[in-house]
Amino acid sequence: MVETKDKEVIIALAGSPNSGKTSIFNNLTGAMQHVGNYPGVTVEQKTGLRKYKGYTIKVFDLPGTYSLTAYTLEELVARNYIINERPDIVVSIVDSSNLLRNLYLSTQLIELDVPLVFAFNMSDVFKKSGTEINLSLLSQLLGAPIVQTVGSKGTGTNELLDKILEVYKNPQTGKKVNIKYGDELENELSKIIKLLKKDEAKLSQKFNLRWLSIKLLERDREVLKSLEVLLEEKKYKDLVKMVENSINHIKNVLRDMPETIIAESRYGFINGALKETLKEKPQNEISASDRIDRILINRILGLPVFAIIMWLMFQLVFKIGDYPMNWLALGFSKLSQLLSNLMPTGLLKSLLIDGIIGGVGGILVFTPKVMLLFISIALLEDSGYMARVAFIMDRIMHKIGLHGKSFIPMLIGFGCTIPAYMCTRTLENRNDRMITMHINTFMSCGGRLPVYILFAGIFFPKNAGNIIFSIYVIGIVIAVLMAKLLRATRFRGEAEPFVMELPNYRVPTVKGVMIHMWERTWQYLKKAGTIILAISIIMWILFTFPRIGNAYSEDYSKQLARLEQSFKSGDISEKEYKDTSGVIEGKMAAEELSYSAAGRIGYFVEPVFEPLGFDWRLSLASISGIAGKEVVVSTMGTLFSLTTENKDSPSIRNAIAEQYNPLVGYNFMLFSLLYFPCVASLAVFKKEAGTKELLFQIGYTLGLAWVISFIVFQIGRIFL
Amino acid sequence: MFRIIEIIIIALTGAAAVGFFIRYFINEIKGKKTCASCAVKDFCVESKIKKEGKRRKEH
Repeated sequence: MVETKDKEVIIALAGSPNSGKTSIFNNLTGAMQHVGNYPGVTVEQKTGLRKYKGYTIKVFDLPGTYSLTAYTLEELVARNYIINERPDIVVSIVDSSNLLRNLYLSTQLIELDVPLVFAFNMSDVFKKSGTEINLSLLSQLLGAPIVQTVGSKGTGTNELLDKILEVYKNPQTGKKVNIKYGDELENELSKIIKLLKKDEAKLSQKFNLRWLSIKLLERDREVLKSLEVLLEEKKYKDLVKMVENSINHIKNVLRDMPETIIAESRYGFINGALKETLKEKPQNEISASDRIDRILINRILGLPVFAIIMWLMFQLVFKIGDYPMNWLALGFSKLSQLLSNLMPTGLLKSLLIDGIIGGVGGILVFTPKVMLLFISIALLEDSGYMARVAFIMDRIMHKIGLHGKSFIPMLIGFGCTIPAYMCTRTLENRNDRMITMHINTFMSCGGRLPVYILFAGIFFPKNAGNIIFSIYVIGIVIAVLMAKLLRATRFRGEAEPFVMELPNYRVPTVKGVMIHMWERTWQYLKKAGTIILAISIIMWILFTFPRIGNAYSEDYSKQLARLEQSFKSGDISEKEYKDTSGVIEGKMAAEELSYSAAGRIGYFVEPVFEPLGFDWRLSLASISGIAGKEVVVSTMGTLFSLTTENKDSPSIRNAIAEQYNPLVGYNFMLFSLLYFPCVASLAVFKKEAGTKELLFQIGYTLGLAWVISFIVFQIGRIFL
Repeated sequence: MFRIIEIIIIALTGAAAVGFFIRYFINEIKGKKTCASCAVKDFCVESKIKKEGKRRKEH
């Protein structure tokens, strides 16, 4: 390997899900990381930088996979990255407490013939188990150095970096390891390699020929596609014919498919290597994880415990979150007051106070609660409890024809629908995937949270936590019911068998939880500072223009002048004057709004939403929510700020409370939960599922939202 | 004078907001980015990986 001028080293982190890849990534990159949404169970794909001993190390975190076959898209993405982009080093992260299963991916990395370093993570758990390991021997057998790490504590990070640089400077450090597949298979592999060697110049730039031959025997579609492009037509046909002959020969002689034999041989290789190097301590006692699991995934207790944990989470978020939220609201009120005193009355003042502070400020005040919710979710995820939730839900999901694996994207949907849609790529069966995508919208994403906080806070101030908990639960129940319906109608078939993962419980680290929380909060803040700011300005313009001029239904200026005269002559008290002038100004503002472009749109769509109890304002807010559910809140903020004399948050909340009753408030939350997600999510939906499914998604969620809200409002009206 | 400045500022702010909004939607429809907050810059990791690969090949 030739050193580049700036001594840049590109490394890719590969590992099975739950092997602790994220913590290793965080330890390697520290605070210099970039975060983006990406498919995969851990969802967020990260890239980061680390300066170490004069080198700039670029770290790419590949999707977590168990294997490098091309069955799932994340496997393919990980594999293609290694083949096409050729990182300088691949760091194979292995969960030390489960070597047999984790090393399976490593055997495939060995076959890819890339410079490797093994990070045996969670080595503390491994050591506690009392098993002894001969690392230097295992390193020789695997053909690459091994570093023991504890991702959660940062142990072994520098050793890992040193080994990375060592292998970078001398990639041929380890001996070349070839996993043997038995005489029959090896003979066929040799034949294929011989044929491929005729085009070695073309092929070896990209592929290792032995790996390529193994993939051909596995009938790997992606490899076949690549070869079809790279080779001449006749050569390709000859190759395919030869491979098919080899497969048939192996099937006849060994009575099994080559890919099964290959997989068995890989496990055989790992078993052999571990037998040579591991000295396990006989275990009779039950592990702590198993003891906790006796309660948390108990057939009877599992679900109620999950419900209690969720309920407690919402109580915590709302009770504690109220304090910082009120401080922020006070801060924005003071800012509005300051601007109000400094600026002369006019459009610019209204834009700043009603449009920007009312809109964006209305979103930003909820940041502490959003942060608290994300901290709670991160705690549950990092501890390993969320994996148990998927396990608990597995039984329910099986009853509706799906499996627990479908619940993982649903859990991710509590954060954001976009990565949740992408995460469905892990489902191999298209029908399973389509159902999971179609029901994912009922998981309350972070964008809907401000809508719930606003309305629950206004109409149910004492029970806000319970009310929002109920909305989340309704979302899950409707998702389950819709899955059942979709399985019985549009997407028939059986769910594919799948083994649920149950990782060991881990104590979440403060750093890890904070990073997870910050990633999501930062996304929320970025959204508030970019698209929500833009929409708030646009909404203010739509609420302000065209100007009403003298087209009021009554002559309000005359009424105000008369009122002022009465006050000056002492006919009415100061209180009466203020109250009456407030009413007149309110009427004026209401007429100005009705006259505005937004008002006209609102009135135009109002008949559709009227049976749900929504007036033109709520109808308009619902429509604006297409751009992003948080926009509903910013629109309400701008709208009520324009018609409220005091621009502070409590006055705006009071104005909303006066306008609607709790039934309408709850129904609006329900409608916001059920109708299709924001446009960004829809764009991803289209990319993942196609236009036809997108139209179905929009149509059925909108229809369902309308029908359920209609029923709730009409029945609720009878009682209230 | 203040009214004129005020109208100019509002017109410019409005134009910028509308421009940003349109760009955001076009990017969404074209599927250029993966998260809702990336209207300003393409943060998509897949494209980052591709760019990185291209850069390295050129080296």
